[in-house]
Amino acid sequence: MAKIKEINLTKLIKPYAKDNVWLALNTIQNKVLATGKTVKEVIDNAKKVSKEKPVIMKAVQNYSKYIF
Amino acid sequence: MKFPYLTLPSITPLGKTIIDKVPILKIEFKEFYLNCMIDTGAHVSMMPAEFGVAIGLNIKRGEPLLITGIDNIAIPSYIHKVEFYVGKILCKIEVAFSEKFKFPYGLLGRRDFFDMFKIHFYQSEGFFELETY
Repeated sequence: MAKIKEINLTKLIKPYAKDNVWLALNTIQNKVLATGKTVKEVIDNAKKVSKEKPVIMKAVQNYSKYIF
Repeated sequence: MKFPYLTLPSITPLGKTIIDKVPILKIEFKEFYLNCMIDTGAHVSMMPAEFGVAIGLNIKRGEPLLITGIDNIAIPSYIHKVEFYVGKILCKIEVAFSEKFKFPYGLLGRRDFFDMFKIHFYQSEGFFELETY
């Protein structure tokens, strides 16, 4: 069985985590295309720099605190 | 379909930084993908209201629903039927959108989504699998 390639976002997110900004990542999630304070802003900013469909998530320092 | 867990930074209550593997699925809308955690504990899928706005919804026209989390605080939300793709599979599920929901990603909960897929978690191997019924 082919091994599924790991996606480790730890280093990618770190420079943005203190600012709690939204990130637009490239499709394979190894590069930050754009940032924004809102979802709309990050999508608009990503369109300006790339034709790639971005992957949206927020940069935070601690992902384990989000339990609903 | 197999998908990798995402490795994300976490901080313990004692302040130690650890890494955490999270079953996060990239769901596809017309203009963007949204990372969403598969949450077996959530009865309904949830997303921040601003995502709903980004996909063209008028959030407050949805069916109102109060959702209570583990802190016992009810947050107002609005249910909408939402379409997106997982790979080539079109999903139509109910999603609760809330301005009070401040997670860094969406949540895929049991209602509708778990009716569409059998979901297998292989955390120690770093992947999870979705299988249609």
